[in-house]
Amino acid sequence: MRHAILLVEDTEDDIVLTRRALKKNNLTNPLVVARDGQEALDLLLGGVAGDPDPDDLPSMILLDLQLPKVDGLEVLRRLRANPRTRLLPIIILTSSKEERDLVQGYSNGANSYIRKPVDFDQFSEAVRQLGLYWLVLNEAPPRVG
Amino acid sequence: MTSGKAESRIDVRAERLEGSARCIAGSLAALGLLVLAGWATDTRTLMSGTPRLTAMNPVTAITFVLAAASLWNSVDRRSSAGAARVGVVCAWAVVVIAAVRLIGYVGPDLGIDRLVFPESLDAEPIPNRMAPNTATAFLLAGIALLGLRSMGSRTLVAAHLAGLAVLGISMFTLCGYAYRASGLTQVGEFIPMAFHTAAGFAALSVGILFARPRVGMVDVLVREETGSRIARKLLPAVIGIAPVLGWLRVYGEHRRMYDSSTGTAIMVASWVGVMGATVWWQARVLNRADVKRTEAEREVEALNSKLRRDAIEIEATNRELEAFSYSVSHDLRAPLRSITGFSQALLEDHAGGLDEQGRDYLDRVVRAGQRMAELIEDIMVLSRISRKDMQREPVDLSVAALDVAHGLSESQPQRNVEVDVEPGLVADGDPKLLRILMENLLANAWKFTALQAHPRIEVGALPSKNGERVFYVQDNGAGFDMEHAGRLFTPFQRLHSEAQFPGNGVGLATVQRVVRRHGGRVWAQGKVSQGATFFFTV
Repeated sequence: MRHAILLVEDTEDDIVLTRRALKKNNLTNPLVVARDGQEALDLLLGGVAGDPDPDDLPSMILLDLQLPKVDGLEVLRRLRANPRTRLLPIIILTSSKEERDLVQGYSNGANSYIRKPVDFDQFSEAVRQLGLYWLVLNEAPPRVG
Repeated sequence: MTSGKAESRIDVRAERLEGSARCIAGSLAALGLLVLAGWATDTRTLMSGTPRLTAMNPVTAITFVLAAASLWNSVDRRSSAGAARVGVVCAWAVVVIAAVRLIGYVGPDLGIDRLVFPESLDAEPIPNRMAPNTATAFLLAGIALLGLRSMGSRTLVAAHLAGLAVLGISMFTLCGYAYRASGLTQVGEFIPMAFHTAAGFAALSVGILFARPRVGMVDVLVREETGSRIARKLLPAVIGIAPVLGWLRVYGEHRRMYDSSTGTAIMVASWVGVMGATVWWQARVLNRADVKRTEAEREVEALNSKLRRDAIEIEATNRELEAFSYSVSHDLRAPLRSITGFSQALLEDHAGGLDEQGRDYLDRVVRAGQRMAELIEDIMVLSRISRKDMQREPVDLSVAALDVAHGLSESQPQRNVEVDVEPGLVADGDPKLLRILMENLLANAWKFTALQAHPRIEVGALPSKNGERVFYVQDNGAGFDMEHAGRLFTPFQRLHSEAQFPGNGVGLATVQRVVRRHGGRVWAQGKVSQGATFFFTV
């Protein structure tokens, strides 16, 4: 998963659109998709398989809030509680603009909160800026194992 | 029962007592003058009631007239300063006459009670003087009359106590006459108090007590509480029954109908019977009132619990509404994103496979999706206003209006709109919601003045009426037909075409929600091409 972008998203259409937006903006990092909260946690924190490779972490996570099994805010809480993923850039990418989601997202340690625009051009622009900022401009946190 | 009704009942009772005090004052003055007339014309009946009894001293009669004058104008607190001064002077005169007479009994006698008709006085079987108990009663009454003019409740209590002492002296004397106990009518070997003097003092003391019934000690008679209600019913019984029983006993004994111990026994038994019956009757009345109150309390309790249930229901409804709004904003937008996203993808990636018409159709799909996204957004704004927690505090609408206008002119520097805001428009409401209200009203005015040569917006308030302040935002823009005024505030209703003035029709709906949340009103006046005025209260 090194240098990958982890997309935690259950809507198939949104996955396709995100993939297209990445491609359109020449963001060539591999895209790993987790289709529910549990899958994302398993991927990052290791499931029954035991300790995963400390280096095997994505460069950033695009996290939807409404997810099957474990919801986005809970995923965020557990990732922040684990030293392995405590510093990992996590961007909430959701349709919700509810105040409580914003407050909860930030107070649980999200690095950024993006509301998915309906218009694809705007969405594509958002993905481009996210990639540019978090993968190029921003100095990544050190890896901790 | 509202407290206002209770207040008015207290007023009625108090006014009745004040009226009685005035009647008493009038009667006392008449008594004094009649006695004086009796002395002048040597009419025994006027001087002493019945020929066998002691006559009222003429100075006593004059003092009664003075006391009556003072009592009369102590009732009306609105009386002029001059009349009030007369009242005080009269009361002081009463005090001085009484004091001089009392001093005369222990020290040098100035003969103040021999000033008028001295010959007639000395011709009496016992030289007629103002009796010591009479002088004492006048002294107390004079002090009470002076105290009545005070505003302090302590002084009034003292005045009422002095009045009660006068009542006590007169009761002793009256009982002495009624029961032929001469020891009660006179002090030692001095001349006794005349019968009608005693009656006059009884009346005067009651007048003193009734003159200021809302304060001091007498308020207990006029109040609405249970204790006062019992007092109003029991007091007349207590005052009336005992003297009558006592008099019957003494009368029977004198007529030798029974001996003293039998008389006492009859009196005690009758007293127990009458008072027992009165207490029993009052207890029943009170019990009935109690039952009614308990029922009323139960009713209130039932209403309260219904209110609580309703509140819980409303709470649940609100939560559902919130969940609904959440899913609107979240779930409806997701498919919309797919529709517009993939249509755009088709347009971009497969434009070659579509002819002109196909591309036009897809364009329309994209635009419709975007429009729907905007509508959902607007619904969310409206619903957020309805759900938002409210705090009330003074909000300066003038500052908000100027700030909003500044923002508008910055975002559209090509427009040159004259904005006139009356300073110091302070409303009591939620600062965030009122800000939203001003934003929408000003944006509305800003938008509809776009075609004016000299666009002008005025923000102000009407002169307040009944404590309600009506604010307004006025423009000289496109205006509207008053016939459609009712639809102005309905969400998504528009009176102008999208091409003429773009918009979604939620601005004024938002204004209305904000106003409604404050329990206020909003309405509009306008004419086509002659501008519009939006009024609101919060």
